[in-house]
Amino acid sequence: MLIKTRYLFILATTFLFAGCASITESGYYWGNYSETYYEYIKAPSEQSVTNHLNELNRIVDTSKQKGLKVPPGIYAEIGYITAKRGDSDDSIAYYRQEAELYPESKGFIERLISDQK
Amino acid sequence: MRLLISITIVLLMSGCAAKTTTKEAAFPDMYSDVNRQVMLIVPVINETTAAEAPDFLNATVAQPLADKGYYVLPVPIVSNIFKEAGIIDGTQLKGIPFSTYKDKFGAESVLFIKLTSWETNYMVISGNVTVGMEYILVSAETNSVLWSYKNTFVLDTSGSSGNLLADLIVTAISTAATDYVPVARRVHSNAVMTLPVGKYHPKYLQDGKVKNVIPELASAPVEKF
Repeated sequence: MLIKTRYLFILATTFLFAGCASITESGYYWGNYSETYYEYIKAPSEQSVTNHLNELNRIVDTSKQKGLKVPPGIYAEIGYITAKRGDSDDSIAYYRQEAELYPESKGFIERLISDQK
Repeated sequence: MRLLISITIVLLMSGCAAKTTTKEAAFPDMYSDVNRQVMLIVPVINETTAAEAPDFLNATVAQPLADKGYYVLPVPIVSNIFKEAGIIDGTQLKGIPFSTYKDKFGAESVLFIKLTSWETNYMVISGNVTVGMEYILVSAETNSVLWSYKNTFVLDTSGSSGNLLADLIVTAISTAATDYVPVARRVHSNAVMTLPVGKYHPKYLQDGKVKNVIPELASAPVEKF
């Protein structure tokens, strides 16, 4: 009985955490954003940037699958990393997506684009 | 054990007894001035010797604020722009007019975070981190303080598997090896509870009557930044 209760408790806790982690009060999905970004700050390398970029893309894909709005800044970050890697056309396309999704970012985004040119 | 529970209950009750006020009474500008949705988070002002702590805070800060309904300018890009300008600690920003943030970043509000303490304590079977933080959100248009909060959090970093030996190991590892991303995340989410929500939040402009602000913790003067 005790074991069963404990099992149920663990199960319930797991669900709670899964619930918290997946969609937030404003309806965003963040995946492991903080973890991959922290790894990247702590040890900047081709590998840690790629891991963070993959996570950003996964956030975009998962948000779309779940019918959620992509969180603020995600498209811009993809654009920024893409630009740093030398693909300015692609990066501008991502920047524009950010500005389209969040029109209030337009001033900032336009600045990023003009800095790049 | 029983003593511990009693102490906890007393502490909890005394916590509840602290005088609180509503979000609207504490932060009226957040309800009258709605041009504050584009938020710029500047580098952390670190007053501690924990050199790695700002990175933890930096990596975790965008999410809770965006979840409160704000448009948070992308932190990694912003911190790179600051870095390229030679600014890695918020202290270096002292004296810069707030309007600069509007001109350079299109920001409507600027969030300063000051880290006042970050202490790791480990005991035999438990460990904790004491974190002291001050947040101050300033309007880039009117220079007024929109929101501020300071607090000290004590966060338990001990494991709790029920197995004493395993807990001992987990505590030692989690407190010493400093995977503080979850700690930093909890610090932020704790602080932003008093922040009036922004326009992407379902409760936008409807949370003014929420009474969870302790006035003494919500009165940072703008001169400090």
